[in-house]
Amino acid sequence: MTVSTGTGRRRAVAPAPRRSGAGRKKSKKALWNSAGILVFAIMGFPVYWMINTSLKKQNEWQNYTPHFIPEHPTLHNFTGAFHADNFLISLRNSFVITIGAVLISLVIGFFGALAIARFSFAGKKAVIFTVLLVQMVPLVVLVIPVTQTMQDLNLNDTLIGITITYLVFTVPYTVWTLRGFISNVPRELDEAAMVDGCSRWQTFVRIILPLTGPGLVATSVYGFIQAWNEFILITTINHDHRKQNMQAWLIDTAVGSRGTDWGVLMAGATITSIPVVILFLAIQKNLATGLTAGAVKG
Amino acid sequence: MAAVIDPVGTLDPPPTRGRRGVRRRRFESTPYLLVIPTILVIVLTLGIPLYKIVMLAFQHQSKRQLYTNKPGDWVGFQNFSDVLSDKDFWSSVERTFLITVLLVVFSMLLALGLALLLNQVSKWVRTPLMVLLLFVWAIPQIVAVELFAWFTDPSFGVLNYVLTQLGFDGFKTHDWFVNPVQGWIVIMALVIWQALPFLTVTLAAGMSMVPKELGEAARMDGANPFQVFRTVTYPTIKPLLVIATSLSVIWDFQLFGQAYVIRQNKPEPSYQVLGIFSYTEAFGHSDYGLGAAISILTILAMLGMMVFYVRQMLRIGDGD
Repeated sequence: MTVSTGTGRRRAVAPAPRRSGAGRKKSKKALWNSAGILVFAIMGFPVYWMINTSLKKQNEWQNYTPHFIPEHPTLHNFTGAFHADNFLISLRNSFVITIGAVLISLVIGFFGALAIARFSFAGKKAVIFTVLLVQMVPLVVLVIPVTQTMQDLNLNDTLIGITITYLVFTVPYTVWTLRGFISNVPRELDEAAMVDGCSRWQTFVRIILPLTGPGLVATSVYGFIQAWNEFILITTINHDHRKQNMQAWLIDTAVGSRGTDWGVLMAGATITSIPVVILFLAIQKNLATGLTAGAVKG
Repeated sequence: MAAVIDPVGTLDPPPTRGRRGVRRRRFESTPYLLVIPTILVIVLTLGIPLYKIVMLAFQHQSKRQLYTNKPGDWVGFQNFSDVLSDKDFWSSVERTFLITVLLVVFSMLLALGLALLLNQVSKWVRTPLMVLLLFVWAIPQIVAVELFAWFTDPSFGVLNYVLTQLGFDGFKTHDWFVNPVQGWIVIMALVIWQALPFLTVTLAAGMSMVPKELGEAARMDGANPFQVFRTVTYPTIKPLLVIATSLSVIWDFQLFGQAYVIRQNKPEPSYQVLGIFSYTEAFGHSDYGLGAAISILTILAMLGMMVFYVRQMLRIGDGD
């Protein structure tokens, strides 16, 4: 866990208090714990309800008295989602676009971050300013001109076009976050490597790159989330239903013409969340570090 | 953990003049080579679009002109004066500021409370809470929106059911979005629910860096919990608080997706915030020049509000 409060340590260090004091401390702890459980229940309920609904057949979720535990749990909705129009292709598109955008930004961003973290050069401030400017520009603003640009380049209704478009938020974010991580690698290491005969580029690749490993992981997960969750640009630029991502599929399913099938929608929502949840749980240690180092959209 | 504060700049040693002096002595091509791909990407994906949007803001462009990529008619500052004299624009500006303030205040207060809570509870409560926070964080915005829409569904939503069971009258088939105040409460709950994990994890990480001994010492000296927070915890987490608040302002001011999608892509006038207003002006009414003008005004307002944040970040980045 990112947050270690050292409760255990405190208990060990604290001098044995008198009986009444210990009792008060204990009841205080119980109070905090019950508050924690309450928060867990409130914040967790939407997640529970999503999974709960996804396991119900239509005649069960379409009920004026909602069942808090599915009476006849079924995977019917999940198979329904998999067989729904464009579901699989949207899922595949999501992966292709997201992974593409993340990999390209990692390569480009690493070099850009090196330049900012290790050198001073003319125009450096301008580069940093632009990187920061990106987060002040709502994506909605970019919708019109980006659509035009993609049409100029004949890249509308393609996955490559969308992948390039997504670089607008993944690259600056990657640059800014990796900058923080590279700054934390002592310059003395570079200098020592160069004294030992490494060229400048060898130093970058052999010394700095491995040492920013955790940063690369954190950065790619955040990039992944942003690209995975994007829906404004893709729904406006691509009109072909076979070139949409999962978010677009969810919107389509929600505003379906024959009324919303909440069971299938919640199953789709659960499936869409799973990749990100897995990634998050895998890197939880670097979580806070990555975002605050980047201080860009998450 | 050091890495968490480091980028904020508190631990960075000030750059020594000497080292920079040496670097400046001869021209180096390396940084330029390194930064060229980044610049190319930014120019292509942000530079050109921003240039286009500025141009567009001074034109009147119809849907046909836009999609056949014909230049629109040059109208000078017409779009801007149209926008600035539009009553609907000002009411959406007002709404945007109000919603932003409410969202930032509530999410920061709740996150602070939750972070304090995380540092107080036993491990068996903390671990599941942290996992839940990660889970909520990971849920895509669209999924969250659909979830809250499902919750508040007039006929089958669980919220109406629970309220009815609790004895509140008139919630049986209650539509939460007819009354904009109630609608906004749902939307704000959604936004805050989604924002809390990031804010809480960040602040809790900051709090875990507060030396335990300091708090104990303050308590020994008779400080009450509030005084301990003000004199010990607050100074340590202040840089993180500043960043988290700035990011909240940026995100909440840009609010678009939640309100737009929960109103089924057709938000009523009382759900128009700036992001939605520019989008509906441009796409709903096919007045792209007007939409562009609103966008530019939005960016300028944002930059104006964030001038301190940008300055601080520039200093940090330039200090390397």
